[in-house]
Amino acid sequence: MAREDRTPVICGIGLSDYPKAPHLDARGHQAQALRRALADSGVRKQDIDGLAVAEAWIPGVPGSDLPETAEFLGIDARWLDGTYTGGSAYEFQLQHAEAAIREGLAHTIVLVYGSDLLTRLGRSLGTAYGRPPIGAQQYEAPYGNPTVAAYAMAAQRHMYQYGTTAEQLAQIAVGVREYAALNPNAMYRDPITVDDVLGSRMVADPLHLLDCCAITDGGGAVIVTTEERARDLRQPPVYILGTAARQTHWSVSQAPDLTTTAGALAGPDAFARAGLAPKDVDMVMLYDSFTITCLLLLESLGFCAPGEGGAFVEAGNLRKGGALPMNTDGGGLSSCHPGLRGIFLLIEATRQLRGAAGDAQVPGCEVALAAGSGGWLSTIGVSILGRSAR
Amino acid sequence: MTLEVIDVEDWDRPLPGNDPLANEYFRLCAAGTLTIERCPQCRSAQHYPRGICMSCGATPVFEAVSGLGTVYTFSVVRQNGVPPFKGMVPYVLALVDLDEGPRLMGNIVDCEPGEVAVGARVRAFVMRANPDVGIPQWRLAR
Repeated sequence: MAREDRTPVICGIGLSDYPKAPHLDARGHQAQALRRALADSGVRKQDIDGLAVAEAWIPGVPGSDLPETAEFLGIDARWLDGTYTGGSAYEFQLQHAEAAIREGLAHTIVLVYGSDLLTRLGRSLGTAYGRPPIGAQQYEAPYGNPTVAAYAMAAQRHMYQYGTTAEQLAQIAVGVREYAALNPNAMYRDPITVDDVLGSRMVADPLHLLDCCAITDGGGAVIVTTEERARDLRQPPVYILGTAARQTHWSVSQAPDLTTTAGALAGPDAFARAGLAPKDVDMVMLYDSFTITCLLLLESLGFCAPGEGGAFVEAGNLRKGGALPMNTDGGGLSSCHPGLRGIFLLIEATRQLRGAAGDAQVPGCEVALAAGSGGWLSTIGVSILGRSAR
Repeated sequence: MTLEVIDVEDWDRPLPGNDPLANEYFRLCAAGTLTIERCPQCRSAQHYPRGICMSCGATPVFEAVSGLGTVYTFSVVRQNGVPPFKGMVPYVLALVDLDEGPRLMGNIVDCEPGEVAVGARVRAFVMRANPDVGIPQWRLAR
C-alpha cells in the first residue's frame, strides 16, 4: 500500500500581514507566512525538505530568488522548485510538489511567497511599469503597453465576438466586493454597484478602475505532505485531486486567441486527473487581476460555453449563495494582490475545504478549483482540491 | 512594397533592435520594408523573428509583406505612468493581423480613438528612430 502512503495533501496554510504592511519587506512576508503555516499545521520546521518559490520578476524588487530564500529561511531542501510563470506560478508549483510527494522525492514541501509591492513601488504594476526593450519586448515596448492594456484588448475582442457587456464585467467586481466585506483584512470593503464600476475612471477601454485588481503587500505559505504524515498534524487534510498546467504564449501579441485561455487545455487535463467535471465543483478561486480574467477562465475551464460567460455572471452564479461562489476572500479585485496572486487561491480554497471560512463559508464545500493566470493570459495553472480523497 | 517612412527627432520611447535578428528586422523597417519570417521548408509564417521556424525547426528567412492588415483588437490607453507614454494618453494600442497572417502590436495614429474598431482595415508606415531602427506603426486605411 506504499502508493496510498504517498497521497499528497495540503496540511498547512499561512498568510502574512496584508494588505498594507510597511513593517515587512518581501523576506519578512515569507518568514511570517511560513511561521504561520507551521503553527497552523503543526509541522516542525526541520521536517520540511522541499521548497518552492517563484523568483523575483520586477526589476528593483529583491528578495524572492530560490537559493537565497532557502538560505534565508534556513530550509535544508532535497527538492527545490523556482518555476516562474507569473501569477499562476504557485499552481504550476503545486503540480510539481504533488508529483514530488507521490514519487518520494521529498516528504514535506512548502510553497512560499512574499511581496512588499505596495510599500515599495506603490500602485504602479498595472499602469506604470515599463518593460525594457529586450527579447520579445522589443516588439511591444515601443508602443506603450501597460499590463492593463493586454487585458483590455482581451475584453474588447470578447465584446466584439460575443456581445459581452461592460455591465456583465462590472458584476464580477460587485460580487467579489461582497465577499471582501466579510474579510476584515481586505483592501477594499465598502459595497459597490455596477454603476460604481461603470462610473469609475476608464483606465484602458473597456476596463474601468474598478475592473482592475488592488495592489497590496502580502505573502503566503502552503505546506504539502503525505496523507500519512498529515494524520499526526493539526488540520484535516485537503486532498490534491488533480493538477494541470498549460502555456499558449507569453507576450500578449503572441496570444493565439485572446477570447480564451490555456485553461481550455489545462482544465480537461486537471478534471481527468481528478475524475471530476466542472459540475462537481462547489466553489472557484479564479485569478482576478481584472474582471475579464475571471470571465475568460470561467469559459475556458468549461463552467459555461465560450461566449456565455457574461450571461453566467449576470445570473448571479458567482455571488454568495450562487451555484459557483467565486473568490470568497475578496479576491485580487478587492482584497489582496501583491504581484503574484497564485498562492492566495490555494490558501482560500483550502480554508473553504476545511470548513473554516467563517462568514464566507460555502455550505457543503467538498471540491474547490483554483486557477491561476500568469503573464498576459499566458500561463494557466489549475488545481482541483477536495475535502475527501477520490 | 515600400512603406512611408517618417523620421522622428529625439525618439524617447524604448529603442528596440538589441539583438542580431531584431537589429536586422528594425533595419529593414527603417528602409521602409516590413517583414515577417517565412520558413523555406514548411512555408510557415511567423512574427517576431526567431531564427528558427516554430513549426518545423528549419531556418526561416525575412520576407517583405504588404503592410496591410486588420485590427484584431485594441484598447484606448488612458493611464500610463511611464514616460513618454504618460504624456501621450489617450492613445490607441492595437494588435493587427497582417494580410499575410502573423499578428503584431502597434499604435493606430492620426485618428480619433473613437474611429478605431475591431475589424478595421489599417495600413503600416514607419517611424524612424535613427537610420538603423524603424518602428512599424499604423493608420486607418481610408
